[in-house]
Amino acid sequence: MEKSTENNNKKNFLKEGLQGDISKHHKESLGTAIPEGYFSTSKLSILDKIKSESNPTKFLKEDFSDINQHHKEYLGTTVPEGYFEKSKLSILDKIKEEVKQEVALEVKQPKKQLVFYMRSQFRYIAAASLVFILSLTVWLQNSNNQDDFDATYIESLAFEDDVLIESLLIDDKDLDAFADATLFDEVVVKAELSEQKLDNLIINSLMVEDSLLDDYMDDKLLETIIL
Amino acid sequence: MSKDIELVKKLQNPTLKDSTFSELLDVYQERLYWHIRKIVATHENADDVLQNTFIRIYKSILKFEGKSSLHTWMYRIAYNESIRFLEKNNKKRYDNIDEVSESNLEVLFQDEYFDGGEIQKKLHRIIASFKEKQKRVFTMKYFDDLSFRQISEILDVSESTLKSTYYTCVKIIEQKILM
Repeated sequence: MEKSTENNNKKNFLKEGLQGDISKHHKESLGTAIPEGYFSTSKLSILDKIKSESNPTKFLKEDFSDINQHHKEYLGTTVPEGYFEKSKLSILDKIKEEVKQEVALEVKQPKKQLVFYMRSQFRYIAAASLVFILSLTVWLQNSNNQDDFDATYIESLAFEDDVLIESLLIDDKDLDAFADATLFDEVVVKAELSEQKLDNLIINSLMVEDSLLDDYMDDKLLETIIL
Repeated sequence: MSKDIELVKKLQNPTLKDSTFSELLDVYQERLYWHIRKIVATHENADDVLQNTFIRIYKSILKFEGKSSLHTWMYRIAYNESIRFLEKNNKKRYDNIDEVSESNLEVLFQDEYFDGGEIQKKLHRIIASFKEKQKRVFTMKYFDDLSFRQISEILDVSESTLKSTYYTCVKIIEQKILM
């Protein structure tokens, strides 16, 4: 009788175990217990793990509307809290400093100002003026020479004409007088001068010859006496 | 896009420049920060480079001719500033971003502002193992939220090539993460 009751209890234990609370059943039948609320926390943990590790396709197709979250989730890279606000201010400050420094540098080292005639616009004007002046000078010089040449040429032509006309109008008497005067100048004076030169030459030659003859005579005489 | 054009007009106007620059910071500061951060790794470095980048933008805004979008132009400045910073710091010349990523991973994992777990580290390593072009396309699209058209402007590569590169990267990441 006792044995049949024990068998009935075992059957009921198995039935209860399958039909009732499995944790309670394990606790009652095996003595194995679990922390309180374990399965609710465990569920979330498993779902997270599935999200990150067990489903790589989903891992790569996650929405990344938040770029920071996206980088944190997939690359594990984070930034300090409030970093971007601070960084923005820091960048703006740095830019202000840079601008100030540039302005200060410009004040300290003002741009070298060129003397007005060295500035490019003046250089072109100066070059153009120089070319103009040179070309004007050359042109004026040429035009003056041309005038001079023309005037001299015209004058000489006029003179020749005058001479010719004058020669036609000269009297025979005047012509004879001019011929006499010229004849006197050219012939008589020159003849006298040449005669005078001839006399001088003869006198000189006579004197030189005598002295040379004396010298020669002396030398020869001495030589003959000594020898 | 039209907002960008308006911003540029105001920035190129000497009287409105300072007030508009604050607006520009509101719109682009975070995006540029994250772009820089992925190159220089640590927060401290990214902060330095971000400041230099915005100072350069402020100084050269008059030179912006609108041949590309404002975002693309600033993105390029940020990239160049990051590379310049790393070269100066490491006294080494970098020809591409490949060399940078490999050496920077360990620095990043030790950074105060890195709190990623194994899976994040794994993703970093996978991205670092990509070729330079793949790396740039994937990070620009996936993390910097740039459109294929904008990436095409920056890298001078056709949109179809970019799309195929991007989806190849995604496939590689999916496979490697599951391993």
